[in-house]
Amino acid sequence: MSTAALHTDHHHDHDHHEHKESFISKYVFSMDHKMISKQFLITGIVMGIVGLVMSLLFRMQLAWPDEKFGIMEMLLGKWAQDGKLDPNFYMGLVTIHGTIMVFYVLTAGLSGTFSNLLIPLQVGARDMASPFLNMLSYWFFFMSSVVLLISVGVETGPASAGWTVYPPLSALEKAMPGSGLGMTLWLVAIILFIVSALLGGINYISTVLNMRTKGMSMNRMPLTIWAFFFTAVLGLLSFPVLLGAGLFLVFDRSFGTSFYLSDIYLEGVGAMENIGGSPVLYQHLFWFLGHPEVYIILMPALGITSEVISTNARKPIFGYTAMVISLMGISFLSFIVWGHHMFITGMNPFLGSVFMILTLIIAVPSAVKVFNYLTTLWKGNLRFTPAMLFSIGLVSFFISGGLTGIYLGNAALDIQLHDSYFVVAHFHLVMGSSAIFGMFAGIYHWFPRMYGRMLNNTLGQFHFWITFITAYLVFFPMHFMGLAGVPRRYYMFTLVKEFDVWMDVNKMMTIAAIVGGAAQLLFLWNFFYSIFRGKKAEQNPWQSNTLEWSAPVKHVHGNWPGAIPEVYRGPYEYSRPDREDDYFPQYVPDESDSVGTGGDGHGSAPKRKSTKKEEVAENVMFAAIKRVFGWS
Amino acid sequence: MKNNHLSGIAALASKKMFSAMLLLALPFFAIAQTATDVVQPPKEFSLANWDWEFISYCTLAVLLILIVARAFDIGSLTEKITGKKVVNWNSTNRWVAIIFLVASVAGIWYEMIYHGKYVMIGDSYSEHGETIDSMFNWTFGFTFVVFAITEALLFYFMFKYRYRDGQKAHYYFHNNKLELIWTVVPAIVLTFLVLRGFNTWSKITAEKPKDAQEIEVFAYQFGWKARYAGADNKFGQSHFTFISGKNPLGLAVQDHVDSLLVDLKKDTALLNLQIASADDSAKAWKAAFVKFNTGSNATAYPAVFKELKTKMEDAESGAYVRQLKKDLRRKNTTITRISTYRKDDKVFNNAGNDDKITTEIVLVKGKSYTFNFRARDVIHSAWFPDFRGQMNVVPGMATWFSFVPNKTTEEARVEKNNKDFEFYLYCNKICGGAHYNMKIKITVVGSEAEYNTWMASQVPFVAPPAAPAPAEGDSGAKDSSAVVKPNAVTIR
Amino acid sequence: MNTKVASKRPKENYRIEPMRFNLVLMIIASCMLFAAFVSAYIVHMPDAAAKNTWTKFDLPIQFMYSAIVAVISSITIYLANRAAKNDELSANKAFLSATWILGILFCVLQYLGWKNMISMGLMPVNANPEDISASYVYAISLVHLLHVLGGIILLTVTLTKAFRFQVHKKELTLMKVTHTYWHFVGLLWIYLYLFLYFAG
Ligand code: HEM
Ligand SMILES: [Cu+2]
Ligand SMILES: [Cu+2]
Repeated sequence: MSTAALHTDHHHDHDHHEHKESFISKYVFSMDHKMISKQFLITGIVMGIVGLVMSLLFRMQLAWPDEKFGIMEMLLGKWAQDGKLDPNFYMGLVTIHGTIMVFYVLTAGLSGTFSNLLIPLQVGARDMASPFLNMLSYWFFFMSSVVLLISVGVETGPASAGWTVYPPLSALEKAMPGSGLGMTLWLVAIILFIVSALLGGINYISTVLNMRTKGMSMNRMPLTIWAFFFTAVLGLLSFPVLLGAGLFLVFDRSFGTSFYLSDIYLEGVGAMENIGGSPVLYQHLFWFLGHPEVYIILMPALGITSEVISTNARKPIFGYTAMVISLMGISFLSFIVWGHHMFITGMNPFLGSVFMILTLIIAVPSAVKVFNYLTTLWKGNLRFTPAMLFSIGLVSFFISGGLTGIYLGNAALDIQLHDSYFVVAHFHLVMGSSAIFGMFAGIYHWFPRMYGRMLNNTLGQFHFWITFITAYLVFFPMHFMGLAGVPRRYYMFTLVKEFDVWMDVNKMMTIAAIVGGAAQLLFLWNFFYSIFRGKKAEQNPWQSNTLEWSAPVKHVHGNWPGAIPEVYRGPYEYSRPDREDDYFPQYVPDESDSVGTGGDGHGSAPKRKSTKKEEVAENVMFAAIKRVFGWS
Repeated sequence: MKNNHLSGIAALASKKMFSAMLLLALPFFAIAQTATDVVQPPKEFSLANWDWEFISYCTLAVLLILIVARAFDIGSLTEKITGKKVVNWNSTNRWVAIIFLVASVAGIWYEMIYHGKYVMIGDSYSEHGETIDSMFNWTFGFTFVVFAITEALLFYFMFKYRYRDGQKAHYYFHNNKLELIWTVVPAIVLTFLVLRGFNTWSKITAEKPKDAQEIEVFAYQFGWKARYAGADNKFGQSHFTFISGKNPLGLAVQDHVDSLLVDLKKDTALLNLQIASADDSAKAWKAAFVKFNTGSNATAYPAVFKELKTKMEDAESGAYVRQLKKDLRRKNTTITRISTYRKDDKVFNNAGNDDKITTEIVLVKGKSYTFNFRARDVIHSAWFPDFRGQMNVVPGMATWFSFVPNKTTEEARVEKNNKDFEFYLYCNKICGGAHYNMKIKITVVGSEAEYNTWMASQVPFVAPPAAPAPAEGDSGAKDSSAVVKPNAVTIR
Repeated sequence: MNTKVASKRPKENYRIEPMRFNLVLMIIASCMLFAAFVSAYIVHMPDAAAKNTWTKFDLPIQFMYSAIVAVISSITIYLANRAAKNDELSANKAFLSATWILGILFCVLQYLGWKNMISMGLMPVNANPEDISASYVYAISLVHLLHVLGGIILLTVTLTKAFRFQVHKKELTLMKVTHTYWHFVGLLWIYLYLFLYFAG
């Protein structure tokens, strides 16, 4: 990655002669948000490849349970003797795949990359609030990734209790091989990860609230920034709770406490001492993070989509305010719905009802977002760049997957659907595929901004369509399987006759997965090739309005060589009837301000007034903080 | 460049950055250090072990990609030279979008015909299950309409509004009325679904029906057992400390518990002995290791070498004794607990003697049942997909689920036109390696008489003197005395 | 270097020193962590009590002493902060040192408190299964102590800077951050102590 940027940044020393940087401080322990974002991206991609390969391995097992694969033995050694995957290691693969995808790729890789890249550039700041913490954030993430990868190689296998690692299974070393050292390393990795996420989140919030350039009032922020902001807030409030849950688990595992353990007789050990612990307590703590986490994953993708769709439809995003409010609503609600993952844990049925009601309310803001995307496309002038295609793909997945949330959120239906393949279909569509597509959209859209070069368009088009079709082929049939009573996390289905009818579907899904996986090679080739050899990027290749495209193509420290540009209007002024061009960047002053529309691009409120109102609100907030902390 | 690095590093040495770097790297090195110990030793390197077929496929695939990419590079070069677009992606994509739309409708259609009958619509085998199915149908109705409309619009818009030079998009950013409509309409629909769902859910989970027959369903790694109350219609008490090989459910049955106590006391005596002679064992193991570790033994017999080495190291570091002491304490606690309960006549009331522990669940059609769940080791989940029932089975926490089966297995076989069809209860919460094979058969019979015949064929837990012991070989629970594999005290 | 650029950042772009704003957010995150502990405690207690695994015991007296130390050190850090504001450098150094010493005293008292609990038979490691309540106390006070240790590191840095005359009227950021953070950990302990005292 380092040499990569070396090419693009080759000349920039001339611009900034005062300080020469050493290789290490520039590419390794860099404190520049743009470099850190590239580091996040590349690490995320590497982790993504690992997660993808794992998924292909266990899909192969599901499709051909009786077959022997030399490749498995080659990759997994003793865990696939004679090319047959070991059931315990199957669980390990599933677990690590889930962990990697949820935390490492879609949390750090997505939000870490784009929050870092875009927040300072789009709000007009020189860098993050604290570049040092930002650097720490990446290196904690890096260490965490390394620990997780090491855990796959340990003798007793990696953590294998599912990505949710419910105790007692995860708490008792003797409950399954993966609950030994592998689980310990998993916990270490996750704790490091939480630290990283918190350090990052703190920076994002404080940069957004505190360091916007002149004229960049909150209601002129691009929706990406709003999304990153809410994401960071969710992370800040929920990751500490996971930390608490993890610490208790560490105590139970290592210090013999009984937070989660009670009444256990373990084969090969005998009756355990622990009584009075509550395994369900862990689930409450976990899902208090877990549900916000799914939105931590999705919201940056939604933000990216908003930006990309608006730019490539050459139209203002429809209902900017509604978009922001629904993000806000989703963020708020996501803290009070965690119980929908626990309907059938035996918790009080009335509590279940409450969680059901709250859960289904979330569907409303989600629906609003979808309708707004559709209306943005309506009567647009759609340019099908790869980024645009991936964004449209995201909307499609978000619809298909989001609607099944309405089934699952219904406690009565969840009795039947819980932990079936229906759930797998739900979250792979709404979270897995959606967010990955958002990430791809972001990469294709901002690659010129990151590396100063363009990605190959043709490969992008192929990449999109193959990935899109195969993703549907893999995940859509899972609905049918789940409804027909096929449980999740089974090593093979041949032991139950009733599942035989799904064998050919299983094979089809696996083949689709392999083809889809191979299509990622197109992307990887495109990505790494273009870093060095891609076409040189123009200043503003997509004719976009937002501030990041006003910064020089070659990165400079502090983002803008001169003064930070001022912002004059909202980010989505595309195809304004009173203008020749179909875009009107935020940083271009009104020539005459004659019409006085000066609209913020998302509402008819006169510019001055709304800015003022909001300034007042903000002043109140800062004054309150200062008062509370005695800083006035 | 190289020069640059060096001077850079040197310059850094005095800076804050360097200390930060070190600070960051330290734990990393520490981990790497320990990891070298635990990471599997690499297999002996031999190219013959590799999957050459697969590798060649991969190579081919990569080559293909390179060729495609090259071809398009040339294409774009021509584009540049001739100034004409070779492919206009904007209009290509509009057609692909429409093809995709049509193809996916066809795909869903095909799948519905092919597999639709397995989907839960319409074949519940319990009374409350029908309310769930109707809830499902309502939800399906609403969501499918939304799904079809929105997805169709999405791809239609791709088709209709593709980019054309000189065309300008409609400048349209806001419409309060529209937005209000599509906030309120979903809200109303959802309210309807929520209310219905609330009703259905409350009825299903409200409280245990009073007239229901109770059955205990017991989960362990990896299997299920059912317990019927037996002739006296009363369940015996149970406790996890009473569990032993002969008593896998831990019923309060005097003989079993007493013999468990005897076994445990033997174990503790042995443990005490082992602790007392720990020093000797350590020396012995060390000697054994040293003796073994000569010549090429270590590489010739890696497994033995490793075992001896771990043993020696554990003994030397004190881990061995610590483990023994832990075990001892655990057993002593268990003994204390059992002894306390043993004195309690309310626990040992002989009600469990005639309980029947079965490896199959048999129900009578039309009768109400409550299943009380108990887990022995980790969380499991009891899923009766055909009866629309599911409940987690959590160690240390009592859970239950009630339903009324309303069709017999025979009827189901006829309906499904499958004479081998059986109902199963599956484990549906990840619980370990054999999770995928954790199920128990459920048979629904048509009459009380059939049930009674079956019941009569089952043996009570404490058999009348002549009958053989009922515990199944497949219970997997070994006798608890075998549980602590006494490390041979003397290896000399 | 980058830091140089960072310090060249035009001031008009932010309302609160970024470092202080970050601190506020960090405090919020910590609060969530302890909120998790406290709510776990609250929901766990009745369950465990029903199974007789929630031993009731008196919190060690040292924990109360440490709460008092927290109050006193809050006062001293307040005075240190005020002294810095008024450019009274020697007073600043004196009060900072006092706070530092009180911080160490706090740690020692926590340690003694744990020893006291151990002498009551409530073990931190391999506890009796009946003592879940004690495990909570250990966990909560341990994690809090980690926060205090962080505070002591911060104090050490500030103190070093103070002795190098780098803390004064015009260079207050670090002092203020330390000041706020120290109040936070102090208040947090008082809250936790009261909570454990009345809930336990
Ligand atoms: C319409 C809004 C949504 C509703 C009502 C909803 C509801 C649910 C419910 C009730 C479950 C639990 C199913 C079960 O385990 O039985 C669930 C699972 C899940 N949902 Fe959603 N969901 C919605 C949207 C989302 C979104 C937007 C995401 C991600 C971005 C998401 C990600 C997940 C994941 C990851 C799981 C599975 C967790 C696991 O068990 O491993 N959901 N959803
Ligand atoms: Cu959720
Ligand atoms: Cu199970």
